Amino acid sequence: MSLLSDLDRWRDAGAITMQQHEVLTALVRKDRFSVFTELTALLYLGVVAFIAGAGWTIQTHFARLGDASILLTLTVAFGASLYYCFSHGSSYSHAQQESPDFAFDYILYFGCLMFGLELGFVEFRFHLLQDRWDHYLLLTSVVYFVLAYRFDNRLVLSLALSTLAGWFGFRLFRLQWFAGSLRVDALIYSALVAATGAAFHRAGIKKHFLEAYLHVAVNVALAASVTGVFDSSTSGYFVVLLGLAGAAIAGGLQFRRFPFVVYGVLYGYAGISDVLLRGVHEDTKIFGYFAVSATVVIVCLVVAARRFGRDA
Amino acid sequence: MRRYSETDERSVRAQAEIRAWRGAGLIDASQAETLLAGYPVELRRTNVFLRVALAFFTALVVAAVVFFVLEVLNFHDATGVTIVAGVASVACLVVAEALIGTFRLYRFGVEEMLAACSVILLSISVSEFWTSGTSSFVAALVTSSAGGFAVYRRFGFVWAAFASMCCAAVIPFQFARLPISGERALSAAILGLILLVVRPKRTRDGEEWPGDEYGVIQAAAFGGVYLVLNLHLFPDMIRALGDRAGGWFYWCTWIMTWLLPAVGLFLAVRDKDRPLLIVSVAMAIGTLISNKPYLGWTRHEWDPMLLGVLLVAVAVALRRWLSNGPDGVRYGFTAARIFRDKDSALTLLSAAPFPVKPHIHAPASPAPSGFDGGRSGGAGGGGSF
Repeated sequence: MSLLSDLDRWRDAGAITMQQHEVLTALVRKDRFSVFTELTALLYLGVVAFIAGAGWTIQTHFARLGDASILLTLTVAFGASLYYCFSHGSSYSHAQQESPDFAFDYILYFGCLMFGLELGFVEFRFHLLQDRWDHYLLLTSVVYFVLAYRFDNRLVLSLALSTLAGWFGFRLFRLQWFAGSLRVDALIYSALVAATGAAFHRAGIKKHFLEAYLHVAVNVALAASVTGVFDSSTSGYFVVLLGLAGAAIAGGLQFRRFPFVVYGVLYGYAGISDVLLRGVHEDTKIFGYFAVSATVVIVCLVVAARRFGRDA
Repeated sequence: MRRYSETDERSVRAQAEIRAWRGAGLIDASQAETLLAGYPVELRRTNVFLRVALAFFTALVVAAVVFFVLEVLNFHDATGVTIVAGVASVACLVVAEALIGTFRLYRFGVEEMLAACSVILLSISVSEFWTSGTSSFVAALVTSSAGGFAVYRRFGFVWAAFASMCCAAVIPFQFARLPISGERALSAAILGLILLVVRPKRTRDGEEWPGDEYGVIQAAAFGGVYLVLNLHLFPDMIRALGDRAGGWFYWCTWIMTWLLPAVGLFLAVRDKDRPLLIVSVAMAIGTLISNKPYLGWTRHEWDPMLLGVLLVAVAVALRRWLSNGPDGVRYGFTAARIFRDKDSALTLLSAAPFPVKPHIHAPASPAPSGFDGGRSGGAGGGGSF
């Protein structure tokens, strides 16, 4: 029980106050054992299981249940979630806000998923937008964005970003702007997402959302450009990949956001290796390349780790 | 004998604890500095992201070097592979030891992957040496299990103990002459034995090192016994059992699917054992999901909804009950958030169940017969579900 004895020593030496000693001792002795994370995980699983079950039930029994009852139920569920959030939530602020209560974030999340389910059902049954059904995605995405910002909810923001990706990909594909090229769509999408996140950050609106935007944008952009390198003989994607990977590494190191360093290194390494090994068919050369190049990467990462990333 | 001293191990954990207190605002920055100074550690560590990247590239180097040597020496037969893999295994271990000794690496990714590669290469070497099919795989599993355990004992890598346990649990499944019930019973017995060995140590040491490691191993063994005995978690299992699905073994496993989560929850709550608590809750959810098929009852489409309602109700009721206790605490449990390190994981999880499939067209028919697969983000908003 060394930590407990040290706590006593720190209290006697005046390094911590009596009150702090009491709180910390309770934590170390497990007299105060928080199950907050476990309970929120249960909530999350509960919401996801419920939505999955609702979708499955509607899919199987929509004829028996009737359109009106399904729509009414989904609308009431969405409306009730919104009512709860607007009546219990604090007023909007640009700054990061604490959830007003334990279940608040998950009630909003539940409402948003119900909304998505409802729009899906409407299109499936009534085909209101016909060939322009992708507008549902855009509408869903806009609603999610508004709610994510209004209630400071990163769960809903993630939904908004993934739904927007769906709309964006489908829209560009249908317009045949870049026929057959998902990669350009993906690059445009990631640029838009990154720019939106940066603009909000610069404007001081929910600055803590920026990282969620960047995770999505960087991964989509790097994945698009590295697959472009794999499939293309031209150097365009390779240049884009090098630039993006370099920016991800530099930004990650500068702002101590190490996932971005790892994204840049992994995607960059994959692209560079593909280019360098083109036309090489001798196994010894290929294995030799990986042995040497991966060692170089390790050395660089070790230097970065020692200089920037000592601890999590 | 452990590679890291007891003082280092305890200091690393104490530092983590102090940083968590600082993160939770329980002490201020200057106090944290003062307290951290009491736990000097000369080990080189890094964050989890760089650790994973370093481990990945280390694995790449080891694999490339081994294949390079095999190619250069033109060793393509079993003997050649046995020799090269064996030598490489020793080399990996020596380099890992040297890196730790020279640079004082601690959970740095490189030394961990070298130790892992050492075990894997040794297993390959033994497997190649043992030429007959099934026996060679069993020999590889036995070697991996023993090697993983040795790596855990030497370096304290809990994942190595976990891997060792997994390999040991898989061994009974390699004997074709064993009945399926025998395979599962034997596998569960191995995991149960590990549990029996680890549990007293966990009880003795609690959260103090190495008790925290034993806690994780204990929970993994507990979960492993459950995974092996719950015949309805994976559909293939029950098909393999065939006609014997209704026999005594089947019903014994059904009882165990209820008993294990109950016992696990009881022990976890009594001892405030977080790893066991998480595994026990997961086991309980697994039991709720698999109970109907166990009893041969029809599964309904709304079952997940009921499960969801139950989970939410349990979470909300527990939260309310705990919060209404004196000072928000009951029997030492609180629903209040103290540490804030798990937020990002849940945020990243949030989009996972609703993958984006952007280029699937809406159904052309005006009166489709049913919903046809997930389409996009937003819970399928905008078309067929």
